[in-house]
Amino acid sequence: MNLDDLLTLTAQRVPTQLDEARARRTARMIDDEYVRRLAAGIDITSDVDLRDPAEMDERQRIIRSAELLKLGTISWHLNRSEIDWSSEMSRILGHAPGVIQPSLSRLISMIHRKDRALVRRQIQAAWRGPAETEVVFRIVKPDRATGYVHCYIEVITDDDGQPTGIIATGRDVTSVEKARQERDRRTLRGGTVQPDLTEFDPITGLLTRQRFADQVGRALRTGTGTLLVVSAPPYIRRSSDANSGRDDRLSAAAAEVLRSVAGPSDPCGVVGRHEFGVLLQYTTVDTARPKADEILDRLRATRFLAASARLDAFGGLVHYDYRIPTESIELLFDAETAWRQAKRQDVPLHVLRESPSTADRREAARASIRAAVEDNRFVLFAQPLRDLELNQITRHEMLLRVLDDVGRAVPPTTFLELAEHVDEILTVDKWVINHALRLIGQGSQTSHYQINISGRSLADPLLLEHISHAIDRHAVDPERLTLEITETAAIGNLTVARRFADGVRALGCQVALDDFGTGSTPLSFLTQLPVDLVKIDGSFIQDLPDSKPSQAVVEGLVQTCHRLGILTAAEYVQDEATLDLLRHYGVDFAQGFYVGEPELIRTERPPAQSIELPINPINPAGSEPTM
Amino acid sequence: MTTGSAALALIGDDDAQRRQHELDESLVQFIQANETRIKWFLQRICDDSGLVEDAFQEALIVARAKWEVVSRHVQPLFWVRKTAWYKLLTLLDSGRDVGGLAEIEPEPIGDPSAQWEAEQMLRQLLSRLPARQRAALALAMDGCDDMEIAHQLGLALTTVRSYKATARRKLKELAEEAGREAAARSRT
Repeated sequence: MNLDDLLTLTAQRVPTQLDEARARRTARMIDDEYVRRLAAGIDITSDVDLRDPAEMDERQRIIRSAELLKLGTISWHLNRSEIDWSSEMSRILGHAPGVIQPSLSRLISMIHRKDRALVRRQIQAAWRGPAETEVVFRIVKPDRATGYVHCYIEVITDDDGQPTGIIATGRDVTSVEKARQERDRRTLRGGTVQPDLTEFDPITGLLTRQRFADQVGRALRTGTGTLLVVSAPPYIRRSSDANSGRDDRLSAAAAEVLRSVAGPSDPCGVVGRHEFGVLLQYTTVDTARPKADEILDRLRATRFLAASARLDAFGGLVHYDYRIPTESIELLFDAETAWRQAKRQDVPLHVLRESPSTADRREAARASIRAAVEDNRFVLFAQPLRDLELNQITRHEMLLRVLDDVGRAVPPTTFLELAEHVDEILTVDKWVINHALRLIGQGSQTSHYQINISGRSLADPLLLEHISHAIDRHAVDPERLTLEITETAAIGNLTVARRFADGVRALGCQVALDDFGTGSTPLSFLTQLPVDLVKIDGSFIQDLPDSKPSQAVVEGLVQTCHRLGILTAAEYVQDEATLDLLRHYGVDFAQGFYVGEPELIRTERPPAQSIELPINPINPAGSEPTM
Repeated sequence: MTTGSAALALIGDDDAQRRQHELDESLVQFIQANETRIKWFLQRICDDSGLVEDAFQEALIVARAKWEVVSRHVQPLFWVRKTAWYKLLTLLDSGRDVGGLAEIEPEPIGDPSAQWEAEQMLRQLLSRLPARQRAALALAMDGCDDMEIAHQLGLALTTVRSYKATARRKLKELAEEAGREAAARSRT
């Protein structure tokens, strides 16, 4: 559409004259209203100017126009040294009219320091045009209150078109401006907050363990029902058969079975490796049983994919009741115990009719953890950290892996969560300290090593001594050691934590806070504990290049740490773009798949050439993500 | 005496009545000649027909009260239009939506075949401009020169010129954009 055509078309329209009858009707209506207002004593003409606009000069006209619209004016004339402002403008500026003499220096002093340059620029732009410009700026009133003023800046010309002065017509727009800011803030906030907290496992599309546990927790408080936990690992003979790509496909296929049998209102989640949960609300073990059987039957009957992989499915079904207080982690543990029972008995499903008492369950859990430690069902992996300034690997984090039933190393998240829950984490931590320090002592100790300790273990008065002895025993250089305090469990006692951190640093080691920003470590720990390094939680790093909210959090956190003399590390670094951003923010260390995968530490081999700790990749099944 | 003064008073009343009648007549003629024109001007500035009607009425009530003065202006239309413009601005201001209106994208329409369509399209395009620029352009389209626009809107002459230039440039962009959208839609 061409604008000129449009204007021609619309200009052709000569405004039609009304017929006389209609004009009379309008006149009569106007007259009636006029008479009514006259009778009611309503003021009609005080806010209009009866002068013919053609008889006023430009300056008068603009000032008068502003007065009629209850706007303030500031005027300046080329031949006069001072400016003038109207009574209304005086009020806008926070002074009763006539109290102070208008002056340019006074006006400038009232404009907010940060807006003066802007106002000057807009005035200059108007003068150069000459053309109208607009500006919104802040003024600081005598009582230090700040207001927003909007001004039209116009240039007055003489008959020859030469600029002779400037008039600004202004109004107080504080409430409008505040409303606009609030609107902008809300818009921004709407874009920076997660739309909902539902998190799905990327491989299976089911709820993540954490979110599933949330659902279980909610159900536990509000009603009765059952929880089914199914273990469906691929049927393999040797651990070397494992193949992570195929594993993922199997998990996805198993999830599909679960979803198709479970109703749309039954939450399904991933609770562990090849372990899935279905929450069957408002069922009893008897009414839930057919569904549980069907899930297991179909999992067992299906031959997944071409690799002739078969799923070895076992299920545990437990009942819950809001009248018996239980925590979600405990119910999950019960269901997991039940499927292990099914596996021992070699039946598809074990129904736990009677939930154990809290004390019994706790004892059982602790016993199983102690057994795992005694049987050495762990291995240690090491994952490199890159110093972003030197751009080389200077550190390694020692990562615990739990060996599953067929001897595969799996991430210990669930295991550690349980261990912390039943207060048996110290046993695990001690195992890690002993074995990690032994491995480090056997190496050439040119890297820096980071070892995880649960916040719960700090309460043990002997832990520090244990570490100290292990350092001596394995001849580890304490300055090459950082103890990472994991955030999953709250550091219960700050005084105890402080004593531990001071003690660790007295040994020459450093202290780090792990998963910072998501757990239960408050910001105040940065000033209350002598922390040397903060590891920013991976959830902020995962999609850093695409997430403005994460960028804001990371950048701010890094700045804070930097000013406190605390080093920073970022986990879950998956690409170059993330690495670039982290470097830009001044993050000291990067860790993640893009930097280097966790690798099993093999001690039986002689040290490798370049890496200080003998590290060798193991088969892909072992290369679990640390995330 | 009494009769005489009564008669005089009667003559005076008569005179006043006649003059009032003449004034009334000239206001009716003014309305007949200009109502559509003034409303058209207001409608090109404001999309709310209720506000347009109010502003028009308010201006005419003042004109009715002071028609004797106003009718002697060189251009009574200019004064009434100016007053309507102020009334409209005041109305718009009092109803200023602090919550903010979401900017509504105009419905792209095809090539206007009739004047009415052209007018609707023009108003849609105008609705994307600030009120002061719309007013300046609306008056220009009604045949006013820059000085006349400055008089009626209470603006500096340089402001009128810059408004017209800016408004035209923006309208051109908007019209082309709308044309492209319409073309894209007709292709699909």
